[in-house]
Amino acid sequence: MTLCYYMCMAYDPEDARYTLTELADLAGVTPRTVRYYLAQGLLPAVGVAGPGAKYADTHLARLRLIKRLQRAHQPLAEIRHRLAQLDDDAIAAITSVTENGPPPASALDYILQVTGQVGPVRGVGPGPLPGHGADPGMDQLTRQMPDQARDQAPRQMPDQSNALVAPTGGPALPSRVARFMEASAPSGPPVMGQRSPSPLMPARNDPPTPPKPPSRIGRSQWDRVTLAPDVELHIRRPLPRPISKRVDRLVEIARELLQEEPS
Amino acid sequence: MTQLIARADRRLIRPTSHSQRYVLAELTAPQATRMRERTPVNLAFVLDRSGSMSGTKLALAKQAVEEALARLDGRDRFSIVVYDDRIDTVLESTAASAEARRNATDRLARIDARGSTNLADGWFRGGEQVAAHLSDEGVDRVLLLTDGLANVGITDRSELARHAGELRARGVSTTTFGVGSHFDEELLQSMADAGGGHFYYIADAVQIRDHIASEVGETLEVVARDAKLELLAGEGIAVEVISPHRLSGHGTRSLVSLGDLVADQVIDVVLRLTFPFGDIGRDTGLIVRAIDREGAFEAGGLADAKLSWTWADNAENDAQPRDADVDRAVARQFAARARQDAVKRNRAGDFEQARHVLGATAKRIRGYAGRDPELRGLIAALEGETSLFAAPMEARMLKQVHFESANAARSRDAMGRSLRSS
Repeated sequence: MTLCYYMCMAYDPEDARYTLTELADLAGVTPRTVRYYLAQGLLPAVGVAGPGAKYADTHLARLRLIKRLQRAHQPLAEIRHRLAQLDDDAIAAITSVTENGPPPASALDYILQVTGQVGPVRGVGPGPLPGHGADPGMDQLTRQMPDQARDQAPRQMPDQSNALVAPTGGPALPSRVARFMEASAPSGPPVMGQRSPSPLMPARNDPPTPPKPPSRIGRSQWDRVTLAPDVELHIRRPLPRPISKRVDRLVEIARELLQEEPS
Repeated sequence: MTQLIARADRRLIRPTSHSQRYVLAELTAPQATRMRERTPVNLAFVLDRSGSMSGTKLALAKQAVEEALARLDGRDRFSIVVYDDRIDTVLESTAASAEARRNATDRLARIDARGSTNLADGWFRGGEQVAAHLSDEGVDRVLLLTDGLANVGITDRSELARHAGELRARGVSTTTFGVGSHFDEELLQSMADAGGGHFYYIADAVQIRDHIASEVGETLEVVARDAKLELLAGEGIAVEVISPHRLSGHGTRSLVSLGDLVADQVIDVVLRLTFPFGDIGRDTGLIVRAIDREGAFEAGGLADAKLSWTWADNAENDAQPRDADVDRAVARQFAARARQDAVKRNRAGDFEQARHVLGATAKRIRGYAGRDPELRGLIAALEGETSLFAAPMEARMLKQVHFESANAARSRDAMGRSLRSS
């Protein structure tokens, strides 16, 4: 693990999944901009330069946060200072970049969509948690959404997304995150009801497909599954369902085989 | 009294060997405060009314719900949904006034058993009812009861569990009740685990009321919502959870989800740490902190628990003492896993594998049991069970073994109730 003590950023090469171009696409910036931020120390270095370099969700989350702060007219020095105060989890919480994809909606929104009672457009949901700022100027963060069914065309997500807040009713953000969000909230009324819905689940009778992380549409990707502390299985997804089930079983067996009791 | 204690099985680690060590974290939730009013609850009762529930089962389930409602008052909300292949909202979410409760009784009386089982949509309907009235401070939960297999709607276990997890993350928890011999306990257990609630096995319909009463009673006693252990580990330490609790985060900071805790509840979490290489004489460590939504642990002044390990040579490692209590907690977890695994294999007709998993676990425990009587007792029990599992077992028996083992692993008693400090 490459640890940058000064900036309290940690980059674990195991999480690397994006090339520079992919990362730039997902964050809505140019590759040149990403290289600039790397040079400025706003993003953790990846130790390998050039076309082989791979970036992780932490880079994506930081890029989104940097964009947001810039939109709030924060100078680079100030942005660097803010980032230094937050760890990966805090940044992920603020920008809701998790392996499961785009910012979650409320419990009610989630159910209404899963049960097909609401279509794939912005729903009216509860506003941000009390005490947290909103971000009315937020861009299309989620321009590229995961395909839910392979034979469906990629869906265009709505313009607004309220990625700032933790899901309503969910666990409270750590207090230092809450303070950060209050500090960076632009003035003006919070935006109510603008939120990007979770990805739709397929209709009930379709074979269920697992949610994919925000990734390039139409391209498959490799997942790493840990079997034991030093053993991984690499799987290219999407996999056809019968094979996927057998792979799950393989993972179960392998984990059991490699599991050790104290010795 | 609220407390957090962390213990390690051994304190020395090898310099070039990726040593694995176990940690037992024991958390006791705060007492109920008499000063503060109890937090309100917002519940949805979702009852299976498929054909198989006809007769006493449905009648007793309805009765159990009515009795549970009697424990609520105007601060609380409840709704009732019944499902077979159609979903019917018997009563939309309402405050639990006396009149609402009488209304519920009347409407329930008209429900009888009919069709097949669309468990997923029944559950989602209950979820909607709860989600539409999320409380600021209380427990928001769907209580789902079934006696059979989900055979209409979404039936895939992992998909339903995933939805349960998504709802939990958005504030709605799920508890499941399985009645009789024909329901899918893997489904109900995984929905409850992912959903931040509990699973109850109800062998006979007469027990429905006890389990529902116990669960509703516990929701009224929650003192720490969405409790978690925050783990801050030294550089390069990989953390896994051996007890069946969800782990999130990575690197130096991770979180173990414990669900909603009731007054005086005691919960044991078992972790396995894998250490990086290190120079002899150096130290590394782990900090464990209890957190919850409203900061009840913080308010109670609960201190963090800290553990440290030292890199030492092989000879010292070989000679070091072990903490027997930690060994026992670890062994119990692996024994519970082995039994649940054996249940699945026996049900699938895989008798050889069922025997094998029990025997292999017994053998591994023997590796560190020494003369400890509890560990030796555990080994003997597992070995004794191999013959039982080597032949087809009755559905009831399988469910009973699953339920007992699952409860043991989750610090719950044989009836699925929370364990409490005196």
